[in-house]
Amino acid sequence: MEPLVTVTIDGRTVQVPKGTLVVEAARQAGIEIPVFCYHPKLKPVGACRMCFVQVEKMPGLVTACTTTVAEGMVVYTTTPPVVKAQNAVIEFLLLNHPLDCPVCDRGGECPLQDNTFKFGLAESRYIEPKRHFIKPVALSPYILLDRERCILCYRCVRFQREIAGDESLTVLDRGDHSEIGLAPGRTFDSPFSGNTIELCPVGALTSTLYRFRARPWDLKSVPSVCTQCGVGCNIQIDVRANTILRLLSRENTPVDDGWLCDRGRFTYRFVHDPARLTRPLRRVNGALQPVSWHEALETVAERIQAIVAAAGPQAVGGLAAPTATNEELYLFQKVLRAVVGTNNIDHTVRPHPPVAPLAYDAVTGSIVGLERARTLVLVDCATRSEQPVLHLRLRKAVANGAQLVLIQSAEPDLWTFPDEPPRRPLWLRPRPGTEAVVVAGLVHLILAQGRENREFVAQRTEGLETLRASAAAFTPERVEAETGVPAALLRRAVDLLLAAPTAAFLYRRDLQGLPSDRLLLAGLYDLALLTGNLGRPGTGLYPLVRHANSQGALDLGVHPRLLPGQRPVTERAGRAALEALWGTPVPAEPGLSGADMIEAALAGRLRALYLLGRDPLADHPDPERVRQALARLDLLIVQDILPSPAMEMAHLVLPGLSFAEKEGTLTSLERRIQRLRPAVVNQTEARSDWRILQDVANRLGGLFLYAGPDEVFAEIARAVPFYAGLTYEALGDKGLQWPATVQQDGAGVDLYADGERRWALLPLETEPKVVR
Amino acid sequence: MKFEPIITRNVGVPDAWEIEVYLARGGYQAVRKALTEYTPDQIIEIVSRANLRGRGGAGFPTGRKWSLIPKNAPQTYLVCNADESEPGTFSNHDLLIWDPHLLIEGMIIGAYAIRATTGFIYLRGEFGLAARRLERALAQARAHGFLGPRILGTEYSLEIYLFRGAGAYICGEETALLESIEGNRPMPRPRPPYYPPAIGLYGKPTAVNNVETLCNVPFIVLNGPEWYLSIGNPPKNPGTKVFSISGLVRRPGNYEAPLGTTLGELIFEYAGGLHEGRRFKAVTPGGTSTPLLTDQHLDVKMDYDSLPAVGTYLGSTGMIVMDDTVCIPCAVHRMSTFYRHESCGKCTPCREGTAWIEQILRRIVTGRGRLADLDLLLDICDNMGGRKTVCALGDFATFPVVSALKYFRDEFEYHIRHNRCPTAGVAVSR
Repeated sequence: MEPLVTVTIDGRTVQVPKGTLVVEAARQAGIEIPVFCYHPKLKPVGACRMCFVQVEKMPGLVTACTTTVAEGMVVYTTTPPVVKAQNAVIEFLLLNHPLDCPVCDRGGECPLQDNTFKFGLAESRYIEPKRHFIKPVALSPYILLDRERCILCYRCVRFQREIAGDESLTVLDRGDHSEIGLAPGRTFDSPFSGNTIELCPVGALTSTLYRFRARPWDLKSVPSVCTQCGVGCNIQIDVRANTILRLLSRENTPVDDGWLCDRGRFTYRFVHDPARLTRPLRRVNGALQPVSWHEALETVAERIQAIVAAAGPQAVGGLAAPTATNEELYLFQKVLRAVVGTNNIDHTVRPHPPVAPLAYDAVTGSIVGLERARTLVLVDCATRSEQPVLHLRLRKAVANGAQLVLIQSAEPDLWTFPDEPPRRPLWLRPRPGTEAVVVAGLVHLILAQGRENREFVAQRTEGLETLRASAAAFTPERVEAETGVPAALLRRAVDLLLAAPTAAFLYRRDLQGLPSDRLLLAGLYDLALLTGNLGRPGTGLYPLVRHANSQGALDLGVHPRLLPGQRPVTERAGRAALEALWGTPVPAEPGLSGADMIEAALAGRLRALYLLGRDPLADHPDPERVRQALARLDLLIVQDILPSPAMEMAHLVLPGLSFAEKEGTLTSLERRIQRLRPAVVNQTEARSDWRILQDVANRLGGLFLYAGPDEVFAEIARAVPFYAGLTYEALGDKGLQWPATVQQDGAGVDLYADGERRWALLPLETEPKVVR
Repeated sequence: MKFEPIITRNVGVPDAWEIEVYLARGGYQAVRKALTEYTPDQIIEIVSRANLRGRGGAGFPTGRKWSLIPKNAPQTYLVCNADESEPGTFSNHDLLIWDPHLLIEGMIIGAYAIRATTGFIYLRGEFGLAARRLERALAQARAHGFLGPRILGTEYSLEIYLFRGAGAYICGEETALLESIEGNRPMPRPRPPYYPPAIGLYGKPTAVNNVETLCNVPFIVLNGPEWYLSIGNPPKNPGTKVFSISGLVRRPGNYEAPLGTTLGELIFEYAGGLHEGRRFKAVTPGGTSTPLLTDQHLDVKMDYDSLPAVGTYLGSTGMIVMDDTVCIPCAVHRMSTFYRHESCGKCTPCREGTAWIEQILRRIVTGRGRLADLDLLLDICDNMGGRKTVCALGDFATFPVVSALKYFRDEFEYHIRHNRCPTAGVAVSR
């Protein structure tokens, strides 16, 4: 932390860290210095000259966005020379800016309008013809550029280069002919392009989806959460006349740093898709026909009861989407476990990775904690496409000097880094499928060189000798022979890993379903433990999930072998706690996984399947096999919002609500529980998914009496130990990470920080084991 | 009157650009002396005592510039600014095509002084002949052991690279020049935080020196600072300056003269005076980026300190001489066209102001001016001048306008009232 210095701005004294820009110091003193080009997340360029101030003992005017504070500095922001310069810059900017505010998307939320109002003059002395360009021009299918409105602040160019890491946008020509445009030979296909629309301080960059659709003051804004991946970026849903017109980033710094990816920003039109399911459907004589909710729910209950009576509860199963809310997922598994009496519950039809050896199957650190990692080990990640805004966090860490170690055979997913990263990334490129052997080789080297963190290993782990014996086989020579990664690079990776005070290990939670997954997972856990990188900010294991609520599905027992709280169904204590809470027995034998349910349906053992927002045809590696399996079912219930291939075989279709219509919570990949809020009202017969599940449960003989998702959440907080202390209201607009017992101040919560438990080092087993 | 040239002594000598000719005329003796007899700090000391000042225009003491480079920096750069593009300025070009080895010799000594092992010559893109001669000279210097590892058997190594610009005036601004070398769009860097002695090329301490500055260095090293202080207008303005005199004079050309030579001497003696029957009206003393001087200034000494006393600068000593046939509003409009064309566009006042000024002046010289435009022009100049822009180009663009309105406001008013030039001569721009 930089030492504090005291500065006086317009007579107000404020203490800020040394090195703070004057513009930021003024903001902290409650004084607004107008800016256009300056943005706190971008490097200052001092281009627009709007932020002039006067500083005692400095000649002339200085730009507040490029001047850092010094002890005793005295700044004035409203002297006559400053005001004249501000008036002049506004006049200069408006020389060629079209006054088409009445038809401009930005009108009403435009920094140029606002600064003109506050810091400009009402009249222009300009009588020359204005500059004209053909307008608008499409930079991409999503973004249009109006060069006449552009005031050349370069925020878009700087964002793409500094934050997104490409040079798609550039400045063309020179002087008053300068224009923003595509760099020669480039396309603006960045997954982060939409952020430039929000950064633009005028209406020069507009969204093709939003353009000319609304005036900002007519919009109703609802704070919510993006559901497109596991990062959990915060969004603002802007609605007019019950129609979503745009999604904006809503900064939750520790989660998204104020950014939103294009998938998140532009994926909302499905909410208003004319094909949306609007009424319950029942298959009669081979065709789906509309029925009343009463008939639909009665039919569901009757048929499930008939199947249970004839073939037992194990003939019933359920698959829920890892995008459903926590409340829906909790009720879904409760219906199946407590009312039907089966553990045939899952959220995927793909193989489960080996069980995580730590207490929880979750990221151990936080997204913001990655900024404090000095070495980042990435094993076969594809964050730019799978967790885009997390990718920006990694870029930020690298720009701040973090060392990157990549272990993957594929080209690094368009990995883009700052122009001149302080440290060059190290890429270990094993033959496809041999990543695990590389990781094992790293474990071997650390042990062979005697460089493990002795204190941490002695105090926090056990099983070192077993590990040592099993790791002995993974000599650099063998690793080089098997993977093609030179031994020298392995040694270099170990040096980088051990030189760093903090290191984090990122990988896909779902792995690849390879026989070597167990070895890979064991090796990664061993690396973290041997180097003492667990339980501190900037350290830890980051199994990255794909979907908006994959973590919630794991936490809430949408899993054949895990109850809510990630407790194994086979353990009596966990079952007993739930039985006490629910007042019903909980089945003790593990259920069928999603993949097994497909096989059981093919074999005729599974007779009824309940799909909550999940189409296994889209997820399974062999869709035709799934089709045959679903066709054999006596009862296929599809609860969803849009038609899907599985619906063609459904006996009952129950229309639910989209993310923008419903209430509930989602758990992001960093264990952050955040609230979805309804922004539009569904005016069809479709119903809240939690309510449909409650109605089904009650018709099956359950007694679910929740008044809303908040009451479901209250029960979750009692059912899940690591939810203890959480309340629906306390989540607020920024969410909370579990466990909620820790004070959350934006720095991120690390699991296992207490240092009480010992962890078992996992032996590096070479023979493949089939694990579900 | 006629002065024996020092740094331009090889200009006009047959094959002066060949290393054999250069060596035969005493070339590379200064490098030998510098590298074998002096430490880097002693070189800085000698150049400081000689009070050599930057010939690029600002007149910053060269020894002090070099002394600002941290002595323990692991990597430093010497960059020669050979992007000569100031209107009316062509003195570096003569030195580059006739005497490339003199520049290389000066660079070796300068790089040695700041402990740089890499140097760059940033050459204006249009200078094709200079590029060929410099490449040839660099190769010859390498072959003779003046460049490369262990120069002249000493511990000192240096490589110099020629970097050709692509024709932008702004690249003569030192931070834009560094951006250009780095492969970026050449736009000036805000200072602070960028300050070349600390954060220069590739973020490393960097000295940027003009061609003529570096060409002075070998003579100072060979002959000593006392000799240098005996030339020109010492103690603050020692040495010579190559004046580029163009426009309406009898003998336009480059003339090396002692600093402190008067404006009148340069125009009427060195450049042969005006054409028959003409009367002197105005001159750009240091290129168009300096305020104009008029017939009341003919006795002013041309040096770094005498010119500010009359409200202008020595600049690049690109002297465009205008006689009584020249319409000042038209000439100033031509200059404003240049600044509008060359503004990089980075910062608002310069980008918009240069265009606005040009538009107003165009109206005036094409008969659509208003008297109110004159005060408007002065106010626009006030809004973009006075260090309100990232680099000095914003100020430069205002100088001809403000000085012309100061000395020749009546010509602008005539133009506006009568819709024609106040002079009988051919209008410069229409």
